[in-house]
Amino acid sequence: MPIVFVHGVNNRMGSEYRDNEVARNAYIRAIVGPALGLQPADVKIFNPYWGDEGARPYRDGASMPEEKGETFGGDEDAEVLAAAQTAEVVSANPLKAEGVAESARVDFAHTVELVFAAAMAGATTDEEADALAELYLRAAAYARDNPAPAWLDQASDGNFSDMLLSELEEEEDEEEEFGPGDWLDQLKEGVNRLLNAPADIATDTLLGATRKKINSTASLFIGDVFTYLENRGDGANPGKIVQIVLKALRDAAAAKTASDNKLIVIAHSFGGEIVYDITTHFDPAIEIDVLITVGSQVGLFEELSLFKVSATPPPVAKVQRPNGIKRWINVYDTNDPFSYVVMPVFEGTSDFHYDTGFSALQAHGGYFLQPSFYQRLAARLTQP
Amino acid sequence: MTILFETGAPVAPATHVLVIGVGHYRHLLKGSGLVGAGPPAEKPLGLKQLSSPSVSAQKVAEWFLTPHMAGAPGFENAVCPLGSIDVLISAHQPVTINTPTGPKAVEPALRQSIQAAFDTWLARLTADAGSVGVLYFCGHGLSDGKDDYLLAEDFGASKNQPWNNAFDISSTFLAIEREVKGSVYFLVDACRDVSKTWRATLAGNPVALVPIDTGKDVVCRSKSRISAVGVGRKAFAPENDVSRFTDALLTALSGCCGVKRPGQATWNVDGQILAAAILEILAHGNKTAKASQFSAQDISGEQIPLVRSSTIPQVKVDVDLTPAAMQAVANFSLRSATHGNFDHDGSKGAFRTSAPRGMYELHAFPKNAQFATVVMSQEELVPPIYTHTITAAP
Repeated sequence: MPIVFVHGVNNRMGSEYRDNEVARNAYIRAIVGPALGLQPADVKIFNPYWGDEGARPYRDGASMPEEKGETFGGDEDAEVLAAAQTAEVVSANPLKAEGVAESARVDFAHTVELVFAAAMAGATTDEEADALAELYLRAAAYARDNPAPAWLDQASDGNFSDMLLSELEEEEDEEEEFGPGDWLDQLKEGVNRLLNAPADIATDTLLGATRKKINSTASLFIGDVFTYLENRGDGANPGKIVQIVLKALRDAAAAKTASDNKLIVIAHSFGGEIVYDITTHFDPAIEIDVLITVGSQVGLFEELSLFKVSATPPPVAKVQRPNGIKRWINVYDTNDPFSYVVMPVFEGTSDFHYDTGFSALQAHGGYFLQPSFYQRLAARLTQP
Repeated sequence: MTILFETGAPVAPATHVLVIGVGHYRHLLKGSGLVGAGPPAEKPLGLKQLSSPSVSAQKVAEWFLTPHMAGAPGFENAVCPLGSIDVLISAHQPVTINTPTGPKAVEPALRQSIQAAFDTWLARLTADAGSVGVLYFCGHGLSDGKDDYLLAEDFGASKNQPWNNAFDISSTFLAIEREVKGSVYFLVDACRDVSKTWRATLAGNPVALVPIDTGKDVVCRSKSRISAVGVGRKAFAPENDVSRFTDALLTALSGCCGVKRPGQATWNVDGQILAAAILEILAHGNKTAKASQFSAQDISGEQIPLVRSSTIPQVKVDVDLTPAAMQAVANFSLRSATHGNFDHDGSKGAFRTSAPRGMYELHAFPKNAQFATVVMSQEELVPPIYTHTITAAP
């Protein structure tokens, strides 16, 4: 089942984009794929990247009111990014007590969620991310079935990962190993990031990162939207961003087989507007079995009559769901100022609230950082 | 320590064996509820209880002891006969080993006990320049990328010294060449995974069983360290059974390797020959294993044998036929003027047997003209394994 992920504004190629893609792909393969009846290895994911065609401030963002002289040299440092991402997750969903082990004794499932989110923040390869996503599934199921396992009484921050991992090992293993299990180091790094997160939040680097991110998000949001609207072209001459996303949608549609015949599209933020424009103007013939818009503004843009297909004067009744989209699920978080609902604007759509727990300034990017988001999404997809 | 065997003649060329097997780790994972379990280690490194090391270590000890028990094949070296065997085994159940003087309960492999046994072993070994020492370990191990460490039963007892009760086997191996004039074999059946947690801890590494005294000259005539795996790799074992490496080791030592040097009366097994045989046996086993395992070796010095066998080495034969449908209608035969014929009916599966080292004719012929007879006239069976797939043509 081909799945296309269309990113939103403010995505530029770099460590953060690559690591996020690696983690997201792993969660989709491990959690969403099986919910749709696919083996993880059989899930085909298409990630059209259009960030290079977005806004390019010609003075490199010099107009942003950023503290001059501030360096952000760690921008490409994987561990700095992982710590920053963990700090964001922890600030939105703190541990339930001081320390990971103590938090687990209060709320085991919540702590497991945080440990894996923090571990996944450091994943840089598909192998690592896939293994963590698969382990997360087992850990989440274990925590659900064992909300207060006896071993937690003796667990400390130092050995929590070891103990948890030893419980997750598959019983069918016929051989024992004279050494540690796989992926322990990654879980331990996740625990360490959680333990260091309160301190990290206060560091200059992360404060700088947050400031820069807020400025950058707002600036590039506006910039990317203007750039898209200015350059999207029309059906005869589609703009470059449209071409990139359209090609991925067509490639994914072509990848369908008789036994794997559904096309799923996940569109984050402004990616939703691009997909809507494509399915209503640039290629209405394209068939999407399920469109999932996340933190998107499609409803607002239609209200503002900004789509190619938007009627003038505006319609009195709700707008029909595009013919090529068989099912449309929209996920929003009321904390996310850039997310909007669609049901009041479009017929045949469903809105679902997902609480990222993030603050208003962080929620927009928070959906895909939390493994539980993918579980909720998978559960929703399996419902008619 | 538990002395299973001792000749009582302290100064004479002899083979001194120290066998250590650790499956019960009182502070590691999944140990709670077991007899002798202690509080969990602060940094258990993901290491759990093991069932194979006690079985493997016992088998190794018994192999060295066998000739002194029932006269069955086992350790054989007339030049450097068995001088002593000390054993330490940590298992989840008490371990008893039959010895020439009756059954003996084996002491657990605590770090302090390992040190005491090593000290005794080293003293015996240094008493005669012609002696051969064997140190066998089976249990948890890990690496910092440069040096390897082996874990005693009480590893993880101290919260503030998390790596206490392990020892540095790499440095011990380096130290020994300045202490022992004879020959030394380190046979290490443990993982060599590189632990980030271990590496992230500074100034906490465990020490060697004997320090490297650089004031002394290198005097060791021969030293061999054969490890179950290379650095960064894992060693495997079936539960409650002999590990893959130890099984390959015992197979190789039990007549599946050896070279007859010009003018010598025995088939000798030195470090190079043993290491090559173990690697080949493991590689053969990898064909059907879930995960591959390849041994590694560090061998230098003279070719001083560990085993001097009076019998010609055996070769494990594994021959099959393709296409597979022809297998059932084929007969196989290995023919040697010296060693006789070995015949096999293909309907019983692949041709698997054991034959003495040498030159053979290998025949595969049909029961009823289903394919053209295949004759391979100059096949050399070299220990430890001869494996071949014959292609049958109509």
